[in-house]
Amino acid sequence: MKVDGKKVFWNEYQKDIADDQYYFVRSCVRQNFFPGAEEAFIRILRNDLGKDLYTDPNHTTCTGIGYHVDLVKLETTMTVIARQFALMSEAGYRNFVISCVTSFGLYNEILDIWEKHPEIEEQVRDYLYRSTEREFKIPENLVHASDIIFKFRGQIAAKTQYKLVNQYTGKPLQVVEHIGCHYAKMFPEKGVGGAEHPYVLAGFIESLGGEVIDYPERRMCCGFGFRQYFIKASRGYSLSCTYRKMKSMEPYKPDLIVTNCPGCNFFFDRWQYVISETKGETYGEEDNGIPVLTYEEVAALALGYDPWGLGLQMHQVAVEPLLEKMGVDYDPAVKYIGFSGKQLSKPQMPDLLKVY
Amino acid sequence: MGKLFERLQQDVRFSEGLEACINCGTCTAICPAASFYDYDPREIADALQVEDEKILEGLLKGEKIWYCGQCMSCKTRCPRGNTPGLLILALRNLSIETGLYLHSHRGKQMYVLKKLIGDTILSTGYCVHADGVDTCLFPEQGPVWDWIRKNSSEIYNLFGNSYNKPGNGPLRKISKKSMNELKTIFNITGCTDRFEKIENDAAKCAKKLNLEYDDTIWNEYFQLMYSKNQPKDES
Amino acid sequence: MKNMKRTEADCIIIGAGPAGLKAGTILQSMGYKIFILEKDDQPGGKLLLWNTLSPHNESAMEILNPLLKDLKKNIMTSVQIETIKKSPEGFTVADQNQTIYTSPALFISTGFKPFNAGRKEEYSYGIYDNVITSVELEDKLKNNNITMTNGKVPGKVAMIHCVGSRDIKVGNEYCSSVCCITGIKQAMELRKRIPGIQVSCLYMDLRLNGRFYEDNYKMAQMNYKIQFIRGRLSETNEDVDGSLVIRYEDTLAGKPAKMTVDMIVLLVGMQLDKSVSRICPLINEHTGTDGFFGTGKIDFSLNPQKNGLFFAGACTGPKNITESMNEASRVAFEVHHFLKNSLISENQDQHDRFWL
Repeated sequence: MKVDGKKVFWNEYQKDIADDQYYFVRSCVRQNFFPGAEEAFIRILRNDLGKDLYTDPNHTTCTGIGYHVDLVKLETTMTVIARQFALMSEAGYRNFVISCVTSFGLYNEILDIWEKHPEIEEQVRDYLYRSTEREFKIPENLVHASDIIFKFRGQIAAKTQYKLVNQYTGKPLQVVEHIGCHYAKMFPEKGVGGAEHPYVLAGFIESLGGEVIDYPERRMCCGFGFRQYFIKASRGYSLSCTYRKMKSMEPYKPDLIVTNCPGCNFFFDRWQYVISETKGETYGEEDNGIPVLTYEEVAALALGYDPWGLGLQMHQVAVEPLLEKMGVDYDPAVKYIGFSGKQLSKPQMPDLLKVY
Repeated sequence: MGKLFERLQQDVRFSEGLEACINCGTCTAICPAASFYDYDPREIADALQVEDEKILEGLLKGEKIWYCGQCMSCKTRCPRGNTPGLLILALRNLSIETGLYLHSHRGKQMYVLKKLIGDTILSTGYCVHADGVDTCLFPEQGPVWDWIRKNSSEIYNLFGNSYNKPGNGPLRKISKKSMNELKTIFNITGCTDRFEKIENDAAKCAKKLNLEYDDTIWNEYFQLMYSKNQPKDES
Repeated sequence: MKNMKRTEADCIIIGAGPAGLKAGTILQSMGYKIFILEKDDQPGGKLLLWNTLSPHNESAMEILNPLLKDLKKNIMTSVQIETIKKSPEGFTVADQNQTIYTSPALFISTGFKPFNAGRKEEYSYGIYDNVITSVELEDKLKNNNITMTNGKVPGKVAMIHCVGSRDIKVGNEYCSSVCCITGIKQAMELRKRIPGIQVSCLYMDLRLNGRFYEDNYKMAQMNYKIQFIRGRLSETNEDVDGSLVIRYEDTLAGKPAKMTVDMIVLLVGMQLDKSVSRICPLINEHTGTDGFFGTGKIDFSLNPQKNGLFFAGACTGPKNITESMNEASRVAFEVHHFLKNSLISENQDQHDRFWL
């Protein structure tokens, strides 16, 4: 493989990412399963990069999951999104930053529809005004949070305490980068590096000294499938997709999986547990599984944030093997301490997958 | 052109999703649903090209249109610029609007989604909320989730200290004003009506099958639709 | 002022490929003074790329040599045209050495450029090893060196039809006419030369428009056991051992499929060579909606006679060499009529001036 060949696409798909003054909208899935990751993104932007990132308690879900399970009507979703834009303008911002990848895809889809069908945009303005008496402006810049980490990867890398390098062997960590489908598959020009050979995570991983793996099922969906997951009877679809990806990446011996979509992160993490329980198969060394981190978690870890302050204890697949490889300083005794400072009881151990 | 087709044409996702299909199979090649189910996105695009009302009715009543996982990999690749994933959204939408979704088992599972996601959106302002997720319904969440649920405040408050209360951190309790605006949007755009219709349709289906039904997720009908595919999938 | 060499002709022909050479031969034999300007360092155009030509495997060089016979002194090679200007008297063409050619008629036979396979990102040309174009394979066949990057001979090859053609994603929606027969020809050639090699052709439609092309298809099936699969290549991936994994749908069976091969040959289509359109707005104006010169109407003349501008060959649309030469012959006669009429009207003017 000539990795340099990918540089052609990386250069071609340049994206305009705003410099500062961001209005941030949270992700439902990230808040539920990786709340520390989202908080870390906010801290990195404000404290490490000195940016103005506005978090608004008044924004709601964009209803993306509801939309893709065919429950929420298109008009409803468009109006909720319009409300988010209205809140952005009211807060005095023009740059919109999105934590969820499904959202990101949906916002782009809606903007594309409005551009091609201005009469639909007019209709939505009417719906919004009638429901909330709010008016909206379309953001000048609309990006995913991973785009911003990509943009400032140089600055972040310069400040990092730890690299994506195995401290025992000196070799770069082998990293699987998984891009959420709705990041670039719908509008490749809206993704850094496009849809086929994306660079938004690869570039960031490289700047931290890691090595990105290309494996046959790289571009395949993690299998969320929306309704296929939520309805138990079809959940096998979701599991099967992740299983196929795990089998495909296994020969490359990844040390880490990094994703930019919170849903994908969740599935890689939990399905490894299910696969270990049902098939007796684990990936990675010694039944540890392959740790699955979000890009914010990787950035924060590298910058020296405490792993448990990031919420890594909320992952099912243990992160300790990765922390050891990176040489990250952590205190196992603090892992299960709660907000009030009390020591919580430990989670039950799975049968096969190791948890520390 | 028949009535169903006329209605389908009104959905912008139909016009955005169908240019003309040459049956090359590029979409099916990388469709995860096609590899696991008896589903073929190419067939969907091809079937809709000739505006045959009977074929459309068959699709709206059948199981096929509910297999797509919405990954949109088809959109990236199609050499004619079609998007089967968008056509699926338009078809599912029309199937629900016309009530034809009740002819298929997977269509009827809309009820499950209304309870799990729809009710969550309107009560919390999130599509998914930790309080509604447990390993009873979602065993794959794993033992770590049991631990998180058992210690939810202690854990969630570590990050932004806003768990189910006013604040600016993750899982903050969304203000009444914002929730009311959200609900009004749902009312004005006809989504509240849709939710009600799905609930009412489910009640009727439960009655037909002689199954217990109420407004929680623990009734017999919910559990059946949630856990079972039909013994013999009708396609 | 530098020494400007000024050359007058009856017709300047731009492009010494089959079309330009054929037209030159005809016009010269009718007594006209012609110059053929060629940008490469030797004449022949894309004929130089081919080893053998369908349907009867004629040698490309044996087609070219007779075309060059009487023309050699009138073919200027390594000419980089810098300006093309039009005045009532005719055309003025200046090259990089300030040589100026003038003529009343200008014949454009600049041919085509093969599609840049790198633009089909999902096929990963230039990234994964052993993904080559039909042009590169023809070269390997010419040199009888059909090896992979590791020096070994391939055991399984997939020929991919419609690369860069019939594809809205790369902006070329037309069919390139000759790729299907080229693929079949090359497939048979591989089977002839490498014992035991397996060759599959992945196609959407088989466009076999020339005489005896259908016979070649039947021969490929019966005598050479080429596998024909009706399914367009969706993506290429590289496996851990360097082999290529391709995904397509076997549309006749209605099932998605995967195949592992050693080498992929991309049958690249044609695009207009824009070297003259770029420098001359008058010529550029004749570009049709599909990117080639002309309108595709059955009105033969392309409406050139009024301004002395003529087009023939692949630059008016993808076609095979026979069709190129046929068109060039017809248009050469149009040039002759144009020149005859200009001479008559010139004589008429002189006559009128004399008598009135």
